[in-house]
Amino acid sequence: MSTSTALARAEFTLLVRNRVLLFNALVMPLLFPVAFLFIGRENGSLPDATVSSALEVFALFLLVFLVYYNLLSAYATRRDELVLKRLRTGEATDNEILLGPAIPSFALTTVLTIVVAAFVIALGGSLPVNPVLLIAALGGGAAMFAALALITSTFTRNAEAAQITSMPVILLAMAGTSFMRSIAPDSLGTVIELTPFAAVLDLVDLGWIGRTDPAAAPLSFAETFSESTTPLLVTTAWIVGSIVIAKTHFRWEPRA
Amino acid sequence: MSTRVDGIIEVTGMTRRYGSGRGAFEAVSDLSLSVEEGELFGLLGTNGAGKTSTLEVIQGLSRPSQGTVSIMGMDPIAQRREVRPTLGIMLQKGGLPSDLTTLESVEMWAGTCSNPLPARDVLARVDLADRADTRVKFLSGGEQRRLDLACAIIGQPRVLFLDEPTTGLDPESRRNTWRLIEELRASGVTIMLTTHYLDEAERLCDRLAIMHRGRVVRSGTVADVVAGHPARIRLDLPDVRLPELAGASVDIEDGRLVIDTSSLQDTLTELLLWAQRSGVRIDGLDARAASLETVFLSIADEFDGRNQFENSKEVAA
Repeated sequence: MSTSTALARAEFTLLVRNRVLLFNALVMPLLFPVAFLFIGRENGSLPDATVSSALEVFALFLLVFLVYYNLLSAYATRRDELVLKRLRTGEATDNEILLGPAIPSFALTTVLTIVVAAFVIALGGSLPVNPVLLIAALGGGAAMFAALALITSTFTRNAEAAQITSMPVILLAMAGTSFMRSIAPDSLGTVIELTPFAAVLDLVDLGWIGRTDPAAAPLSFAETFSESTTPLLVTTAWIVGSIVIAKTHFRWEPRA
Repeated sequence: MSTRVDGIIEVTGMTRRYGSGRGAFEAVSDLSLSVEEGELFGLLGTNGAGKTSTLEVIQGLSRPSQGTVSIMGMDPIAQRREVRPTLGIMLQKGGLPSDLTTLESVEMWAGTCSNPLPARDVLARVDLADRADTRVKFLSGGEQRRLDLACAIIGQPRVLFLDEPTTGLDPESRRNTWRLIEELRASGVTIMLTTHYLDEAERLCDRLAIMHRGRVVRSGTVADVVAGHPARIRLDLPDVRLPELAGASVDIEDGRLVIDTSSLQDTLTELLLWAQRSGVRIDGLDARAASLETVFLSIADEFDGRNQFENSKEVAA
């Protein structure tokens, strides 16, 4: 058994034993998107606008609750319990120690994405225009929110404190939703495009319905790639920036 | 480039400083020591003496501010990948996820080791076999300490660091832990141990160093360290003048007579014969050969004066 597998297995056991986190991880990302899909059906099929809304809600709950909040809670708790300090005395590298808690979230991200995709297709939605972008959206999004959890955990004393310290990132994620983008003044449009969730959302829309505006005409497979340059760069920048900050500021032991 | 290896652990001129500028604090100053392969080396000292800081640097958990450290001729930080599989580390304070069971915790730790022993076997060695399915948060302090020890030995280390391994253990568990430590030493494991229990150090350590305020102030075998310190006789003897006792000095401490002597047997014999001849009854007689405790207590007295001496007595107790 590899180091990361051993740590991931322990984290998965802990996740299963914590009902609140388990509910956040499994029920929250599925509940609203599936409800949207059932409510939005028209004549046995799903309009692209409904698919877009359902996937947006799914991505938001998935990345914010399953990946970000769970990981933030895990890192803060493990540090508070001195588990991280102990792990550093062993053979595991720093990267393996930090990756271990993230693996269950990444695995569940994959499983839940498959479940939601199956619902969309089974309920009459179109097939994704560019699955590569879809994978990039959720894979990159998971990595980005995991890195943000690492940063947030540096100033989060324990799991209880995470309820407060997580608010800035949750609000930042909310700022990138289509609703907020629709009501924000044009002058803020470009800034909002640079927020983490706005980039993920654009990639999800380009990946599944082939455009970022459901009212516009769909793009071809090749056109979606060129259209995805900005959100891909934004996602990459957030991942790299967050990891760089986390590497220099992450604390392995509670503050004395 | 080959490196000459004198001991399995070599520390030369090591200083560990925290912070910088006016707020800097030097926890360890110019410390040098060498531990031979298969040896059980004790690191003793009052609270804040720098024991844990020393261990952290030797283990490669923090960098020395000055000086060098090597384990088996390797730098514990630069050659971490080669060094770590040979080390077992029991921290003074180190946790495991509270909602995992004892067995799950050990299995998790085993999964991070390149050459682990079977988890259940290790739990049996530390007397936790019957607590395998108990969650860590429900273990007593002593049981958690034994679980720490299980994690430290599961990777079959060549060098084992034990930072206060028996703190919080009941007497029986303590003796079982001593037995396990002795078995490990007999199997060739090099052990570096810190403890506040001086009887533990006397029983287990081949050699030891006593630290005070970041420096080693005594080192050697227990016999070496104790040599030169007087044995002590205490007694209650009101209103009677003692005879001259050869090679002994007499003082009064807390209302009791205290006799320090370089020859316990001769002085005690002389004292008892005098009492018999004179018809004097001696109450509260307490005679002790020089021990680590004597040395330990005298160090604070020697370096810091009487107040620190009293504080150290509390620590030693």
